[in-house]
Amino acid sequence: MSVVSRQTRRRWATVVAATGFLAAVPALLAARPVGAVAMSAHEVVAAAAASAGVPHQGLVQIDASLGLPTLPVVSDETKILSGTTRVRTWWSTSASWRVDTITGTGEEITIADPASTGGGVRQWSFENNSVTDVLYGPAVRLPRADDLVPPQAARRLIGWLGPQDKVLPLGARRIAGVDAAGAELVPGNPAGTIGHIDLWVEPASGLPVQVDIYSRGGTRPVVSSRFLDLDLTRPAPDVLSPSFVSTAQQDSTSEPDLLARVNALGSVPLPDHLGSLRQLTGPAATGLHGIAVYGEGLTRVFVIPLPDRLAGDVYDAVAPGSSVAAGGTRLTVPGGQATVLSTPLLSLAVVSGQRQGGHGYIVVGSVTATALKTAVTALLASP
Amino acid sequence: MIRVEIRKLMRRPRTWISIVLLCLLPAIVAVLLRVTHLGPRPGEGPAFLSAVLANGTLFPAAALGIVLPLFLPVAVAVIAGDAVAGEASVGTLRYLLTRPVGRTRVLVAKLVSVLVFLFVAVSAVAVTAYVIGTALFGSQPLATSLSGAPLTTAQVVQRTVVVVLYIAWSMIGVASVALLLSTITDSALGAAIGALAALVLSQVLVTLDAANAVKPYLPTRYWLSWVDLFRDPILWSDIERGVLVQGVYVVVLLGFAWANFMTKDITS
Repeated sequence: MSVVSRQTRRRWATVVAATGFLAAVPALLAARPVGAVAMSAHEVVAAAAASAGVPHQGLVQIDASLGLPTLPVVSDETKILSGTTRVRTWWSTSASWRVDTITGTGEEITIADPASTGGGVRQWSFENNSVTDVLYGPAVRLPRADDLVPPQAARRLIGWLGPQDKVLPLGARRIAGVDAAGAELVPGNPAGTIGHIDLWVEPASGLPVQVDIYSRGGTRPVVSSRFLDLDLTRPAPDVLSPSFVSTAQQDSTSEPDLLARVNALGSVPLPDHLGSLRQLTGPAATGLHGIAVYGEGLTRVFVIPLPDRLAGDVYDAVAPGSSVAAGGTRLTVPGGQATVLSTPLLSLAVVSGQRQGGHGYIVVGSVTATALKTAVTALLASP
Repeated sequence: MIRVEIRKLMRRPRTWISIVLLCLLPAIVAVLLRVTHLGPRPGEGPAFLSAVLANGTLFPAAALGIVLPLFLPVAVAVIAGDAVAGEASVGTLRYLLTRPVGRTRVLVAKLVSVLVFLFVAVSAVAVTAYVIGTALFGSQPLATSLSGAPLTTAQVVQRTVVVVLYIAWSMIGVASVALLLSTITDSALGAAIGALAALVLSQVLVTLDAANAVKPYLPTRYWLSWVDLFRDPILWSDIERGVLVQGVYVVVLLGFAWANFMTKDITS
């Protein structure tokens, strides 16, 4: 072999070896064994439930593929339930936190500001150049980004756990550099659409770092929320109380979305049972008059009466020939009619009642389409 | 050697035509905005374009957002693709390599000249956009960050300088692909098109859910992360990843370019 060809081989070997090493680095880092975490599944759930006082800051990715149809009155609010959303979160206490939803060209911020909003939040929107105080923190509203970051999502789901639901062990996993302990929550009601919920927590603090929600029979999570970066330190006060430009439009509202606006309707009499689903009362219910919750544990159905001014928009959306109706099943029963749509995780019915003075309803829940149709039939048949 | 290559680059009309065209495109956009007052809705279109009507100091960021996805990579690919292949196609490469300098030094000199072009081009876009932006739209003492926090003019300028550096670094990956192909083929156009094809592939994969596993390693994945410099607090994580990913591409691609160029047959 000539000297030149030896040098050439050595040169190419060096380059190929360096490339192979660099290409292998991510795989090698990912293949590091996860350390043993000595927490039982029930300890994981208990630690997550008690984690509201754990200060932290980090970057979260929420992947959701609920496949909800576009309803004209809630299209903006339900965007977070389809697609990938990146969120920055700073948490000091339950009364002092900030969550930023970041996009390629904008940002929306939600800040806990109980003192000046009566328990509500302050919101910044770059798109609208506006600062909005959401007053009094409505007990029921459509989900915001801050509801879906792992700690809040996990605590809310754990709060819904019922006696029929099971808590099973789940292997540890490395998430955002943390060797996290896992638990699997399995709904006990066979009419539910949730297959299981996988939850991981940072072992020392109990802070939930990932929540994956699977539909029944699904192999990939329909909703997955996980930290990409996590720092378990208390955020600086100025980050939690940012200043906004004086040119921003200032506004305030106590009805930030459809569900809150339902308050204006007042109470509509609703039955105690919808088929086999019992109406929940007390802390297990919503705490907002006008909306009823049926079911138990993780299997729940919400019945939301609509004011006439909102019902018209919804009726138009589900009218024959509309895009929503095209994907749904038309259901005509004594007392009214409905369009029923089902996604892997949620079933939703837009109901046009006749007997109740023309009220419309949205009935949505983590039950199968069959169970929801039964509930809608019972709703329209109720006196 | 490096000075020679830089001088050669700067004497070529195509270099300055590329830079002028890169500066001209945002200028046309600025004039149209000024005349019609029809900016995109906030959150739509290139980053910050909606905000420049109120504050011209943000126009450099908007201008860089306009040229980054397509025009800047095309210019860089053309210049880098021509670096070695251009010499080979006109027959001057063999004379270049007969000089008493090693091929490694020749390649390094070519790379440095491309880097100089990169920084000059990106800086020229930012500077002309600042002049045009403040002249057409005026300047306000405070600009609005994406997070709503007020930014002073000094802060906007400082962050724009970091944007220039980041975007220039992001383009080094493009330059490396084009330079590698330039050592393989004798066609400068072929090298440039090859580099752009690689970028288009990367851009397609970035939008594909099925490519989630490889997305963090794609060369274009973090290109637009410079926007994070205008958040408060600044989100550094994607910018750091972008710098790292580009660094890996540079090391790997220039490694292959070096290995290939060292044994390249220049007699044919």
